[in-house]
Amino acid sequence: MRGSFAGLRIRERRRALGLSQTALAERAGISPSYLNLIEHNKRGIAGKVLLSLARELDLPPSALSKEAELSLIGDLRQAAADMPVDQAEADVTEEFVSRYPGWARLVNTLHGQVRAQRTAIDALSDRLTHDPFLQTTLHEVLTRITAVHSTVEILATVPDIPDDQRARFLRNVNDESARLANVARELTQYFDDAVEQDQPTTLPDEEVERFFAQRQNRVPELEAEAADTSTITELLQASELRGEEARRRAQTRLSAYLEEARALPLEPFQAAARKTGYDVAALARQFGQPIPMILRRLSRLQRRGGAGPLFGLVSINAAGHLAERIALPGFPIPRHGAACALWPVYQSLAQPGRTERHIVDLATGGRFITLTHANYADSGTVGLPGPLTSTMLIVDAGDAAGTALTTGLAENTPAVAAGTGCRICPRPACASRAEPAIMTAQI
Amino acid sequence: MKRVLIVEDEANIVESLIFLLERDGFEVATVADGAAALDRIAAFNPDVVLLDVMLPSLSGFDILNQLRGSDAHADMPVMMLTAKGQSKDRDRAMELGATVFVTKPFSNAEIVAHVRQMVGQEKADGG
Repeated sequence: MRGSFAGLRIRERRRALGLSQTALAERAGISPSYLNLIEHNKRGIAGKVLLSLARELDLPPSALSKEAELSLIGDLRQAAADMPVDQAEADVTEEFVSRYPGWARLVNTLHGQVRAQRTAIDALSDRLTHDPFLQTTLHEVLTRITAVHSTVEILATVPDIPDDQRARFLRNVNDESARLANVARELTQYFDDAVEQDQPTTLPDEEVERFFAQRQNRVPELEAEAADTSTITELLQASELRGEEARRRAQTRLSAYLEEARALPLEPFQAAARKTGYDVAALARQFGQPIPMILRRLSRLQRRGGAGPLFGLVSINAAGHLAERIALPGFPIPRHGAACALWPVYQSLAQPGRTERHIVDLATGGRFITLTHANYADSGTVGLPGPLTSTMLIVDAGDAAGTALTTGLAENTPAVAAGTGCRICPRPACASRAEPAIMTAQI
Repeated sequence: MKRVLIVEDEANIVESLIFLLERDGFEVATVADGAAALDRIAAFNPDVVLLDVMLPSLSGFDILNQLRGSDAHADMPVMMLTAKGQSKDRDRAMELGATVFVTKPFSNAEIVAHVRQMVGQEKADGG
């Protein structure tokens, strides 16, 4: 099913421009029969062909790129899963994205905004309920009003109050009024400050994800030999990250990136990776670095001239929270909520220190090789474990063929029949299913 | 004369309550600190206690709990006064054995009526 969207879009765009297959093929420098195969999804497109077709059709190359489309499809399926009451036709998501990419992006953007606003509402609700300042202030207001109300009621209804008592009551009311005015000022200032903080409208994780996704998960500035922590500061200052928490998380990830870039410089690492056939154990020995760092570094490598495998990566903490996600075409990673429990990255948590390899068949039709490794960070305290992280490198089985990634892997090795997440997975009989799927048809 | 002890740390509220209850014929004593309230109750031996929840050093709930656990004051009428009007606070007060639960801001007439009712008289009898 992978790569099946560009064909339809090319055909529709060509027709909209009034071009014949022959005319477009000629302009793009390919044969009409090859264009016919592309339009009927019998051939994928990449590289020069993709660029020339995009140019002739007056489309941005990303409009014909399956990576962007697959990511959008995954996000829309998640949107449908988040709002099942709306009965979106989730099983035709691919067609929707293909035919109406603008609308699809709009729906996805709106879904993101709805989620962010829901989170903001929850946070505000929590704040109103539990904020110590608001709790104290409300108590103060009620106390002052009680004093004023009780005193004024006496002054208004009791005719024979002695003069000295009346004078004291009036003074009390005056004092309480002044205190109430102070509380009102503090409350106003409190909400003014909250507005000035300019709360971000997206989640910190999403901001950080966007920051890295826009850079295709690679930060050339940190690959430079002279890069240091001031480079990170400059990157953050120049970034569009708005929330304090998002900046903090981005800084943590960039610091880890810098550490990896120093330990495994890109050029020699890429050369060694090719030479060893992407043998992670050999690379770990050669560079004297831990396996998880090798896995993360491999996910930063880009294809050169269309050669070499392309990697995705997932890392989770001990609670299963997705800490890092580098998407790979055909292997969607849920942006929110739990991923498939069968992903080897979860199994790896039970076997820290071991590097495991699995074949994973996704419900969407792709076959992938995964390498996983979980490890504890040092807690610095005797008797207490540090944070446990599990890292999973993902590579298309086709890309991995002939490399060390598949060396020794018997053909009859059982594959893990996994999905993306239960709600968008069509495997009805899965023993690990945690909740019903929103789709029954094959994706 | 029936005795009312007011356990409340807000001086201006206390002054209004003293005026109202003394005018209605009650003998009134006050204490502002939670930790001192139990001793004051033992010494003053009131017929009714008006007990604020938010007090310095010991909360009204704690005082009520200790009162109900003592032989001498297990049945003493207690009116809880609180700015915390949530149902869970009301439930807690009633579970601990409060006789009446009143939320701030209250009306003077409401307080006086409850006190009269708790001492078993429609109108304080002055002795």
